[in-house]
Amino acid sequence: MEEEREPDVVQIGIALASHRIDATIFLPFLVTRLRSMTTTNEAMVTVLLHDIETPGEVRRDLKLRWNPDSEPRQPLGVGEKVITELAACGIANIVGNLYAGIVWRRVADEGDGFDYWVRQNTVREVGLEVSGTMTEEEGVLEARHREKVAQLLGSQQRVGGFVAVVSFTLRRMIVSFHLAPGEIYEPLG
Amino acid sequence: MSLWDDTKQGMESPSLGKELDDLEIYKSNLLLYSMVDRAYERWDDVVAKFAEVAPIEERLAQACRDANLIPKMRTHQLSAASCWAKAGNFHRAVLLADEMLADPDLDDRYRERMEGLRARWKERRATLIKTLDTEDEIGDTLGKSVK
Repeated sequence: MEEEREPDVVQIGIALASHRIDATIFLPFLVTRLRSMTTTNEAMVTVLLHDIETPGEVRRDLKLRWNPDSEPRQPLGVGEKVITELAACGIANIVGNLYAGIVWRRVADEGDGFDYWVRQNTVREVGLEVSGTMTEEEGVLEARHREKVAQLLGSQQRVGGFVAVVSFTLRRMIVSFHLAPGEIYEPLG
Repeated sequence: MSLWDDTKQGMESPSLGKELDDLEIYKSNLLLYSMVDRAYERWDDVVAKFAEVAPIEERLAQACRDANLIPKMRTHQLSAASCWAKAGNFHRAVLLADEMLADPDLDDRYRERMEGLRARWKERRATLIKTLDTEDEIGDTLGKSVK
């Protein structure tokens, strides 16, 4: 049985600003989505990590905090779906870095089958596919995750990588790692 | 932190030197900002960004070719072609696709993807010419009637 632990805490403005590429563009979208989940300037999200820290599933509770000054003063003026997708990119950036140690290297081409090229601390890059939803059903979130894994692994790039899907309504996120077809798992250490 | 052994899995992507590494960051930021421009339907800004990124991608592809980083070269080639298409330069996009498809070592899945894109860009290019021809005819007719 997994031992109880305190939630991890992240200040999202600082986390988004600490990257090689400018992830702060996601801040207003992420704050807008998180703000709708709470009456304060912090929100709790459950993160399910698949094959990230250890084989299988690990659950982490993550408290995301933001500076009230970063809250948009006016409605963002874009569609709800767009806000959700860009907010998902923001939270994926933070969670991927926090739990998998990945940093975003470049934006992938639309035809690549995933959204970003990422790496840990060496010279090899893999894919990261991100998706956001407002579904209230866990089954829908899981189905979206399966769909995105197939998309990543079907890419012509033939690399493995990460899939991050989040439901801001369920306050739940799945982050998983996948080897490319043909790649052999080689344990670290 | 991860089960991924990143000394073995994924695509090799070493530094190309400070100038090109910085250029890669710069063009990635342009692509990120274009996402927000798209969300706000600022189409002139979107097109300007793709037109700026496309030649950078071509330069990065060449640098990867010189460094014998073939898989990474292909990602930049594909992105260059795709950015040219999004900037409205279907001719350049098709030429780059032709160049990729002429490579006998191109992976089947990549080839299939590029053939699909090239067909789509050619179709758009033809539609553009037909549309412009139609507009020119209208313009000519109007011009003649004024004379």
